[in-house]
Amino acid sequence: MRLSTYIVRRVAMLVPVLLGVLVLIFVIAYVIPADPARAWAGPRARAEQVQALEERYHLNDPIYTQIGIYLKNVLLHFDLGVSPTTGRPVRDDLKAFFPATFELAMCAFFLAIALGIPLGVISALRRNRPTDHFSRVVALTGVSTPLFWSALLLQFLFYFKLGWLPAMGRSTIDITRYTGFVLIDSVLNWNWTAFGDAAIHMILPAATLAFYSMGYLVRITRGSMLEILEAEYVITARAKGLPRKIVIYRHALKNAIIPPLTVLGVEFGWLLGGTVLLETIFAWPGMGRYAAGSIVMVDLPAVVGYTLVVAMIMLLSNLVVDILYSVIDPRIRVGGKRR
Amino acid sequence: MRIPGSMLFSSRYRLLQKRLHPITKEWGLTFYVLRHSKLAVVGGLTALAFIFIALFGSLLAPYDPISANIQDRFQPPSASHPLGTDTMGRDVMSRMLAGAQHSIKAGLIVLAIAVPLGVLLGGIAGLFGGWIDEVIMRVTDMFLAFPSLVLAMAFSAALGPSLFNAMIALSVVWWPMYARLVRGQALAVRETSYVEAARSRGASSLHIMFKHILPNCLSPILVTLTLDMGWVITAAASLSFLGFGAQPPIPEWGRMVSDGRIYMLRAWWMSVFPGLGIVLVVLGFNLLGDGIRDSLDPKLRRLTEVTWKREKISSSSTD
Amino acid sequence: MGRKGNWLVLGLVVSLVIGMASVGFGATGKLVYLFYGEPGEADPATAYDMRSSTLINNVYDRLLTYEGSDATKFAPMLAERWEVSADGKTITFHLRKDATFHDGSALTAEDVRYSFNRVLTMNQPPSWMLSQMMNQDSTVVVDPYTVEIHLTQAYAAALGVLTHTVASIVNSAVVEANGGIVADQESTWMNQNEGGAGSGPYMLKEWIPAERLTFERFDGYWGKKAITKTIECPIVPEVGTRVLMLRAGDADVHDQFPETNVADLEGAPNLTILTPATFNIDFIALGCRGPMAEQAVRQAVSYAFPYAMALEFVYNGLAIRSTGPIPSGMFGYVDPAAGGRYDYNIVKANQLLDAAGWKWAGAAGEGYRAKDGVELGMEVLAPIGEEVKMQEALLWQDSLRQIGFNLKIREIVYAMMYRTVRNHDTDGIMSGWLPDYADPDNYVDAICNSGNADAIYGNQYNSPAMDALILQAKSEIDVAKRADLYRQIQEISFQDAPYIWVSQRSNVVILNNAVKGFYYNPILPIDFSTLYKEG
Repeated sequence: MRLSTYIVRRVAMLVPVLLGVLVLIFVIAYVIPADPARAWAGPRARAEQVQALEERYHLNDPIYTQIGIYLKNVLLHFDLGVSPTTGRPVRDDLKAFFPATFELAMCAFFLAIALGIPLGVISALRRNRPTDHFSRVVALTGVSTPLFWSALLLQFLFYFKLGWLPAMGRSTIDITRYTGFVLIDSVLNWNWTAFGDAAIHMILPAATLAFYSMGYLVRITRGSMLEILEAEYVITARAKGLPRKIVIYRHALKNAIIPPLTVLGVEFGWLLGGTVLLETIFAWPGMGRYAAGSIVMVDLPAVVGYTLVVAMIMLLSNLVVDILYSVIDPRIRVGGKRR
Repeated sequence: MRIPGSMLFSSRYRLLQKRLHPITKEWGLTFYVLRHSKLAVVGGLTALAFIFIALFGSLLAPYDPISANIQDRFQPPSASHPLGTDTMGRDVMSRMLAGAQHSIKAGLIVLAIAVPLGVLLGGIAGLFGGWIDEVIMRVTDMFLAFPSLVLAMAFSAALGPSLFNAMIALSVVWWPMYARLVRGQALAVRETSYVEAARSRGASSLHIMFKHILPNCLSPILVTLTLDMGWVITAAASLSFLGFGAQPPIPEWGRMVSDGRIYMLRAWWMSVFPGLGIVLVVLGFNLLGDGIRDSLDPKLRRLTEVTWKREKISSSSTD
Repeated sequence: MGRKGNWLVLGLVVSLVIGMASVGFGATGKLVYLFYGEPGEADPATAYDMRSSTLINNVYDRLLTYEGSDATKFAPMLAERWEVSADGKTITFHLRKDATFHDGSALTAEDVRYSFNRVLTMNQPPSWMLSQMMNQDSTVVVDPYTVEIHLTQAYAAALGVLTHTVASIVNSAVVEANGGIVADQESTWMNQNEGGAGSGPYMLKEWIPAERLTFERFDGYWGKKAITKTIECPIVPEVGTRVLMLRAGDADVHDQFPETNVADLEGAPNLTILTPATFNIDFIALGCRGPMAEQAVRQAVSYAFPYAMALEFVYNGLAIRSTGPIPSGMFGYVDPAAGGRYDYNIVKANQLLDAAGWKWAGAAGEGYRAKDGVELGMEVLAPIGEEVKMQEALLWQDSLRQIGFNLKIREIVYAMMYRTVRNHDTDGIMSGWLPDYADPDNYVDAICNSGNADAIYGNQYNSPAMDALILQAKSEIDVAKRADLYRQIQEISFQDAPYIWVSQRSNVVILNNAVKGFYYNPILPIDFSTLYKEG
């Protein structure tokens, strides 16, 4: 299969999957034993008011009608509805909360790469020695520590006890928000104080998230590095008398880095999922916290909107990974289609 | 919470599958390799200790883990309360001992539902191929694309918050991983000559599934299972932390961390110790799983096989 | 990384130092007030939560308000004076002529009519307050500065209703320019913006969702102008973070601070802690079905609640005992000496149950009681995140074991509580009431009226005598007669015991010592305009 055909096919497959996600979330929402309209309207609301809300949000219509109306609004007007709890259009809410989540996930992502890949390489080079054990235990501890706990602990240490780092929010300094990404906006404002402020706010949440998610990267890097070190050309190079350092840095490293790179999309997906807990604890004004809050209120438009956006990001990042992978290893493309 | 499934889009299992072969016949060698990995032994012992506490913890607890004794609240760790007391004056250590069973129950129930379901669907997809495969795989894609914690929260909200419902919710997000794993394995096995041969002899699909496909899936499933045990425990704790799991006064560990959260400044021990407990247990299962993976790694086996055989010969000669 | 990386690190460190130095601003022009959660909406017609009312009360004006910290005396606001007709059905308001909106346009009687009819047309959650006594024709413009309100029926609490945020006056021109009024729909623009729609002492300058709100003084205010130029309000849900911000001086004012965490602030030399009583009451609603259908059982569980322990430990001594639906300090409050009260008494509770035929399964004091094969017990809902209610439930659960009563606690999110309650899928709720306006009718009508009690608390409590008294008290203009009606209501509620009255809570206010000008009215949110920071 040609690469372009493969990509077209994969993109086309996104449509039924996204539709499935939409149906699934509606089905769940449909069976939740809640009275969303009553919850939104408050305890003293009269029956007609609740009824008006139910009609407005089509809560009494059969599920397929609800999905149909939703799809129509999304496709024709790019309208995700109005969140009954924040009173704002879901589209605006997501637009406001997306940059915070994305910025956090990106920072954690690069931190995880910067720490995870070197750790994996060192681990492989010193296989079965104390350094290897140490770095593996560090990586596994990261994977084993529940995010909500490490976040609490770091907050306790660095904010409550030591007072070195702020424990909540993205910034304390007012700047014009052009993009919604505070780090970028502070540069655009040419305000280095604001940049520093945003940066120190980023440290704790990003470090927590990176520590949690780098374990997998360490493992993959270590595995691929070990494999390469035993590959014939490396052994030949060594046999030819090339110094170990040169072999490692010129030949082995370059090839060993490919498998870890191909899993970065997955890595990003994890980070995005991890933000739900992390944002709740760090009061990070992002989508994850928005989603957690919306579920509690059975805020259907918000939950559906969030789910669709995240599913889209997950699918796209995995698509990019798979395309990357298929460029490297064309067999995957063939494997993708079976009679 | 670890996103269980999304890794399956990845090459992780491709890598795994490449390395793993049905080595079930050489259990002796497997255990030999396992025993000689220090980290795996440490992990195994931790897991065993945890299982022991889960079974007998309630009996070991020095205080009543449920009954409030509010005059004694917020006591820091001391000789009489080694891990301090909580808001209601209950002994944190007693609660942890009595609560261990809930975590292990969570892990076992989730895997007991997710694994058979995933294996069944994955096996069917791999075995039959065609549109059946396409449909099942698109459904797994769908579950994998879903933000899993949010999905679990929504399910748990739909069913009403309780520990058992949280487990059901987690099973729902966990099975696609196993479906993918088994499908991949089934596809690979299907092409082999001995399955072709069996088919030409007129063997039924059921026969092929149980005789050829499932045994081949055993080792990757074993590895994934051990690693997942830890992750499920974390995930269940996360749901409880958010209020979608264990109901008070059940001393589930994640719930205990959550209960202590607003008292961090005054009584850090309320959150720190239960969280530490989770880390140790999950780390134990992860070390063990990592060890099992290594012990099933063909390259490592080749290296160790020689010493193992030598030792076997020498031990049998001394008999 | 190399050299470039080093520069980056250096840059980061430098900006970090500058950043930290600039955090400790202390200029008098600015005051930091902490929000513990995000306000729902900025629109008076839609908003119905505590945080939103803080926002709206400082940005919008109403016709009248309360006198300082006194919740029994009305004070003029946009209306200089008013007259109530003898039958209580017509109120005439004379507006002040110097009031302008934030965009400079004059505030007239037409805006009053527009605002009230807007609330009625939009039909959003708080609109019931107006619609219970008014309709589209009720508000009549007599001249640009005189407006008459013809109530659909006499309502003793009518003036109280008009002090609520829902009765705020909005700028009709601004609303019309931003989407106007749509029947049965909220205005998404008004929900997040103010843009000259208000006439209050502050303007809503900026609202970054889930991060912060900024208020700027309105220099053209008709009344006493606000002292502090900028009120900055970070939204900080984590209580630990709020504690640290207050201790470090990064935040100046915080009200509604949780009782459970007051100990974290004690001993901070820069802080003052005030604990004025509110009109907020906490109680447990008992569903009158199953074993709880028996009056004796309800009385027994009322005796089995450890009141003193809850007040001391759960509320940290920051609440007073409540004994009926009407809080102390409000008109209509009934002294427990006259109205009756339950005190912790396990012996009496056991006697009641023995007499009612509930027998212990084994020896007295072990296991649970039962009658006709039905175990004595119930399930109670506790809303997620309400630490105080959960602790109360746990204490009660322990104490109920001593009378052989099996209490199960179920935590539930608010959204799911209503369905569960309305379908009678549970037996009780750890609940409470925050008043909308300072009138006993707002309490008894919601809590004790059989229709509302079942709709809100699902407790199937039904007393025709009680319903008749509530209806009568609503329109009773004679103050003494009205007070006596509330005494009778209290007596019935004591006998029938459909609720366990637990506490009347305090508003825990944390002030930086440099903050002056604070006052508290139990029915109104905090007033920013009098606050300022010394030095």
